[in-house]
Amino acid sequence: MNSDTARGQAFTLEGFIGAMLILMAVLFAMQAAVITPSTGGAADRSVQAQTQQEAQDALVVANQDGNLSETLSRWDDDEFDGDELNRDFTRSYTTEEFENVSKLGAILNESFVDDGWSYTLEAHYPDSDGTDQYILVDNGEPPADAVTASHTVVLYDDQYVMPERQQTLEETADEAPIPREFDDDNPAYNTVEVRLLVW
Amino acid sequence: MVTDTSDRGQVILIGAVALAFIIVGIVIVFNGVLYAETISSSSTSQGAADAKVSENELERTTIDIVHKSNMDIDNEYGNSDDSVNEALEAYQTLKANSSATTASGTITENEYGEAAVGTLESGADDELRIEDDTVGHMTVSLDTTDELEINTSEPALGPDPNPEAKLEHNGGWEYNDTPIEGVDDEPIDVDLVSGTVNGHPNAIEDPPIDPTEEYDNVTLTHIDGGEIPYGFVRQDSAGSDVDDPTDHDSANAVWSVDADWAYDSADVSFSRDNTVEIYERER
Repeated sequence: MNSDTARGQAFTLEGFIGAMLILMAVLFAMQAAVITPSTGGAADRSVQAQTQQEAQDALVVANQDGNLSETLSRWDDDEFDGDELNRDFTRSYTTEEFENVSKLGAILNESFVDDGWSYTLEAHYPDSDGTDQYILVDNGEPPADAVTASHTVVLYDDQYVMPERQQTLEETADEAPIPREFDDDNPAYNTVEVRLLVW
Repeated sequence: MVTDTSDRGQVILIGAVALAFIIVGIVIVFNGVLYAETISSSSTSQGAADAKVSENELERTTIDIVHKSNMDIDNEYGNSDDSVNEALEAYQTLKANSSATTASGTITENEYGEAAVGTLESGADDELRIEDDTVGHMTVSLDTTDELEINTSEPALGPDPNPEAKLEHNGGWEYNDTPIEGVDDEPIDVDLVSGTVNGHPNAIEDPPIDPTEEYDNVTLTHIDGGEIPYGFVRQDSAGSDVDDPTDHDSANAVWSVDADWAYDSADVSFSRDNTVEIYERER
């Protein structure tokens, strides 16, 4: 091989390697400063997804044997006995109180509150004006990165108002916080979306 | 000659280094692609989980309403298909109000069995016997003076979960001599399929009737006390029979329904034709 040709090849390759080094350096620099959805301070996407799945599972498990719908129809409390039901029902529980009245409360305290998370629980239901809501557990305004999970529960006419189990939902329909929304010949009373926000 | 060999060595060395850099570059690029894929697909997998929950909610609603309509022997409620479709529509509206998803279901076709309500007369040995059939639902209402025996013969398939069962009040309510939690000296409504007593789920362990089994016979025997009201739903399969006491009303009951579920969100679009068994499922 001619010495000049071989040297030329070597120079060409050295040029390529030089270019590659610079490109690699740029690539490494860019990888070191990856802009991800969590760069702005938000929780990691996979952590958020996991938290949402946990929240969803808590709702599904709590509803497994009807406990969630019992929680929703629990307006026959000390302050709201049978004669004093009213549409302006605004009772909210603290997380400690909620643990005592609902299986969901116990699950949420164990899964989230004990680990330093907060949650708010809302009930949304259709009424004559569209939709209405009341807050079951209020822990303040959730931040923008709160995760949401929801479960829809159907309440029925023959279900008892909790915790006294003395009147059915149908019997208290005129005064109950959640109104009856179905046709008279339908055994269903109303549909309620339970919305859980965790942060 | 010496110069030539040295130059060639230099070329080979530089070539090897170049190849190593190219391989490292490829690894880094693919690593970035995998990372981007993980980020972009996480919401899709979450969407699939949401669709599953939604289908579960629609199915649960259908089962509950159809069952309540089945046990409505006096026709207080309207047609169960209409009731279910109204509830599914309400569900769809509520869902659409809260998120950018639509979830809907419709009922297309039904398979029928039989639902009945009646009473076992006061005095000993009045019996209700269901032969060669699957029993999806059975409840009895007992007063504290009542005593009831439930017998299921060997089912056609699988083990008999609890061949002899007894409900009685003996200072407190007992099922097979085991105290029933959550009830004291009050009348009780017992679900012999799910084990629910007065709304307390799983109050009796190992309930006597399995809704997935076909039994040679299921017999309720009144041992002591006053009238015992009962209600049941059976599949009404070929060759089956009910040896019923005097006071007994029955009507057609929906045993299963064909339903179309649909779910649409930004990430997932899903639709499925499904047969919903109202009773033949683990509860």
